[in-house]
Amino acid sequence: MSELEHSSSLQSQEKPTLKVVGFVCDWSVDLKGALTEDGRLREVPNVYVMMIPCSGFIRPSWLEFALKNGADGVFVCGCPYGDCLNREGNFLIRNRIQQMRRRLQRQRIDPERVTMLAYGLHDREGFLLAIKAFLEDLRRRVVPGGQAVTRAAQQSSPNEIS
Amino acid sequence: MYKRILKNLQRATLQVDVLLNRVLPSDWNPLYYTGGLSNLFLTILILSGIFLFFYYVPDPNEAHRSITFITERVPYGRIIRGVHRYAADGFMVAIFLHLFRNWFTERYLFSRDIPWISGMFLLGFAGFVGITGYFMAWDDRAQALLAMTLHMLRSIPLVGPWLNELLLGGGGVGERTLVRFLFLHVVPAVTLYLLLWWHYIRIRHPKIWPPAVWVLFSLGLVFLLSSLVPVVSGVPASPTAQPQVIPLDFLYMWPYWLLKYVGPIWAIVLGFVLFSYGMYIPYQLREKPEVMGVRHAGVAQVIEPNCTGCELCYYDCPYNAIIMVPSPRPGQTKAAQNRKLLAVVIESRCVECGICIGACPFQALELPRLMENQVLERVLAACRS
Ligand code: SF4
Ligand code: SF4
Repeated sequence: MSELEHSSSLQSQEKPTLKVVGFVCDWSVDLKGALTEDGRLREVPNVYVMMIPCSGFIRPSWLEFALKNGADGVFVCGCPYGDCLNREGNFLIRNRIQQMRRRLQRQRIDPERVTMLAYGLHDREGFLLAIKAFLEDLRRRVVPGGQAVTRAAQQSSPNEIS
Repeated sequence: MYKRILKNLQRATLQVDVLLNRVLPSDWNPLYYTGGLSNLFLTILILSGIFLFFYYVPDPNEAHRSITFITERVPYGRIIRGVHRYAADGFMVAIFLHLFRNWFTERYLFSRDIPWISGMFLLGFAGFVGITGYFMAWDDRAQALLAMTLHMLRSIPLVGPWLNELLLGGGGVGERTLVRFLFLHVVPAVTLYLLLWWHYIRIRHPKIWPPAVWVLFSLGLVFLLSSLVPVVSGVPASPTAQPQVIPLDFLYMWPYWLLKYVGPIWAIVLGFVLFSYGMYIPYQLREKPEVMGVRHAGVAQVIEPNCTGCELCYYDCPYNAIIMVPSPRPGQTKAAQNRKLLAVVIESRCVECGICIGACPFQALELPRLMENQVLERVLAACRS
């Protein structure tokens, strides 16, 4: 494990600028003051965040669009399951992302590059921790050349076995 | 100031959620199912109430005896009576949790005022049914309550004495009195279902039941309580007994508590003011559109030429704001050419959440102030930077 972490930190040196695009529901995590002028997270500047009215607003095709245009990872963040202001938005997008992952797999894009988070208004710490974990995971998946590895290549790597 | 208090209350509410979610999976968080829990308790109340109704005799001389009969002679009567009593408390607790939670988390914005207003009526009716329930036992407590109620009603100018007679069915307590109370207990309880229809009408897939664990837990709780702490009546009411001060159940009886501190007319006025304020809550702190930003992205618009009539948005809109109408003309895109139906957004029901945008696979819906190409442009900018 330590070896893996070591290698991943090496990789992060080679490719320090992972690009992540995130859609965050305006009713979920409160990010006032946590964003820079151009919409990056202050703490994790390679994450670009866009506020949206509800996590259910997201079309999976937009996530795919981001992945195909150079983003290494995308995420959608809604409220905790069961607490969506619109009652169902986060469940709907969770299902849609699941379907989309299967689609990505068929296109040989690593489905783990898309993720769904659920954090409430005052759970910024939890949210940032999850983002950092997601980035860490992405780093492991991104080969030095810059392209995130496909699922097929992933399957042979040891850290995928769980 | 007031706004800050509300913000703090919201913070506290959500903090409780975060804590509970650490212990339980969030799908089981009971605070996400306060509405379902209320409905569960209401169902328990109705079922146990029907059972009690078979045996209850609404007559001042017989009522107390019939309840003793239920408790002591009818099989499981003691349990059912206890269940009816404790489920009523659970009902009120769940309702208040539901009320405060939805208040503090601002779930009354936009067209969500329909569930809110109907909720205020539900609260009023539920409280009323609860209070009239106390008269059913017809013991010394009921008698004291009756005295206080009559006192309160009499204090209303002009119609007071007349209301008194109306309630009692004559000059004093007589044969008709308890029939009236039974009517006032049962009919508003049934009316609750009418109000619930109003409560749910704009909600697609309302969560009317809590998860199975909580159903079992609540059922177990009321049954356990009713066998461990049996409900007992006081001594039978009699015309000669003096109504005395007795411990009151706060959940339903707070209007009567007020009587200790304010005049009877003021207790009525206060109840009325609270109710009116409750109705006003959804409209009180409406923010200006400019400060709402992305929360106010405009009513969803159907891009008519693209709509294929696939009904996906219709199933996913959480507020029933989209209806399908027969298509007046074929659409323009290939997929939309043979459509039979067309989606239409009813503007007054739309809360601008955008869920239908995510549902539509044919690019036939847009939020006017957050259009698809704006989103994609920003994604591109982020990817290129
Ligand atoms: S934005 Fe769409 S899903 Fe949301 S309420 Fe309006 S019509 Fe319904
Ligand atoms: S989801 Fe889109 S295409 Fe389907 S009915 Fe709704 S607007 Fe029309």
